[in-house]
Amino acid sequence: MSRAIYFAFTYISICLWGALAAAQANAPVCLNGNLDQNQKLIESFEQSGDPLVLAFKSSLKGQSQDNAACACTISSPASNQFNQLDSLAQALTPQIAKMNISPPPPSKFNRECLVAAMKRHPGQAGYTCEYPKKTTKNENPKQTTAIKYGKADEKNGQCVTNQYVDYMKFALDSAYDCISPSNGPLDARSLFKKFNNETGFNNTVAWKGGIGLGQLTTLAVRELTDKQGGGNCTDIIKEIASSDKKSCAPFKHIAQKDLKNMPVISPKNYCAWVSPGDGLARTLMLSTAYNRCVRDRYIIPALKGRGDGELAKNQDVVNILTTISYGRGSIKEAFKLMQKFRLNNANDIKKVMASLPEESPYVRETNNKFHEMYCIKKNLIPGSKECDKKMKLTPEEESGALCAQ
Amino acid sequence: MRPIVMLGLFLFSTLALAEPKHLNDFIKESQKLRKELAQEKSFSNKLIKIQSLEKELKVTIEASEKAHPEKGPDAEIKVYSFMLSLKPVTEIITKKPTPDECKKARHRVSFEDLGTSPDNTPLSPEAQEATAWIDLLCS
Repeated sequence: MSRAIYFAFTYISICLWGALAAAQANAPVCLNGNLDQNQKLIESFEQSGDPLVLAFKSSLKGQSQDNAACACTISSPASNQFNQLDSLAQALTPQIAKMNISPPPPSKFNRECLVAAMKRHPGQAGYTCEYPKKTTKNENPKQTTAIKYGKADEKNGQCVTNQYVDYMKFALDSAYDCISPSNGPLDARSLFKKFNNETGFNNTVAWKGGIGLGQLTTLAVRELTDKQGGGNCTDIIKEIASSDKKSCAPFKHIAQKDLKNMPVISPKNYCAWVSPGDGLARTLMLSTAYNRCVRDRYIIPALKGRGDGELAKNQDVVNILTTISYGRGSIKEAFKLMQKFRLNNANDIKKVMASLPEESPYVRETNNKFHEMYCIKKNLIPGSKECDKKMKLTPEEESGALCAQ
Repeated sequence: MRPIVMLGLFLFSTLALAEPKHLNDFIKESQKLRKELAQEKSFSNKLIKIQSLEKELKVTIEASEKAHPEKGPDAEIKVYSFMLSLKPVTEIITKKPTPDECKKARHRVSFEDLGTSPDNTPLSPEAQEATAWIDLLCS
């Protein structure tokens, strides 16, 4: 009798332990080290029915089906991931179920670097978004109610889960694939370093200095979307609006809408910029397009005007000047440095390339934040002596080549 | 004694003449030109004046480039910045401008000057001067 009770007890204990372990495995883990209770961003992401979120979930559906078809043995950590994907696939909304399974875009951005970058704290005010409380007849409501959660720091910063990192990677890869021209690809390394510098890939940041992932400003938005107002790069957004590329699908409706009415940056419509669905899609689309705009409409023509065209073909020169244009001095700063260093074909380009980072506070800041990201990646505290001494980046690491291809 | 005084005077005057104009000198000159043109009705007369100002800036920069072939001094880069601000004006406004051309020129001056700066950041003095020229040419 006592042996039966012993076995029953053991059986129940094993079951309970299993259930507990399963629950723990499914509980969201804050990868960025922020407080577990700061779940508003994740809730908003999970509730979002915006095209970018749906496209991501649809790509998971494909992944999940591929996994289900696989007869191989799944190891423990992979099994957890599989369970997460599977449960997500099962909980797909009818909208996703209707969507065709789409393969994820080609991978350009490294996930490990992304996780480390997302552990950084930009420190400016952050907002999460909710659906408006009053429901309307609108069949496709948007998350338009912005709620300030405070500074995007350790205390108030929003929890970022494994799945949100996957989503961010999907969003970045999609925007890159959609906007980068095949005959002159954008420099993914510069884009990674820019987003890392501006916000640490935190799409919830909004303040007077800029909005969303790439910290856009009104003048930059006008340049891309407002032809009537003098915008010089609206054709890039037009190209997205009419693109047949699969990767452009989550951005098309935003491109079409923004070309009709230039989106305004104001606290009244912060969610148009910082919501995890359309907000992230908008800022990613415009920030990536901005890189292309500055490079192709300003930097390359200016370099062509200074020599026989060879300088404009030098990717390193083009990329660093494009990065300099993101700084406080804007494009003019890059033009002034071209003049200061007599940037023409006769110059010693290597010497000039070594001097340019010293001259641009923005490039210095970008490199410092990138170093910070590497320290986090190697479990060193940013700003600590250890981080400063031990973490000497190799030229390859410094270029960003290990974080984006 | 007299030849030494003469030589000194010659050297002094040569050096004084060689001293290039600074940004502030050009801004003052530009403001003066605009003031003179305030009542001017002929568009082409206004255009000629801004083009001549641009030419003067170019000559100053070219002289500095010759004097400093390796690296441009700060004074030159400041003057160059003014030329950069005026460039969209004379590039976009080549004949009596349409309202769209005026908007385009105004946006480009602002965008190149502070496209990435926080909203409501004031334009640099040279971009402000370029915008004032757009107002004049578009009036």
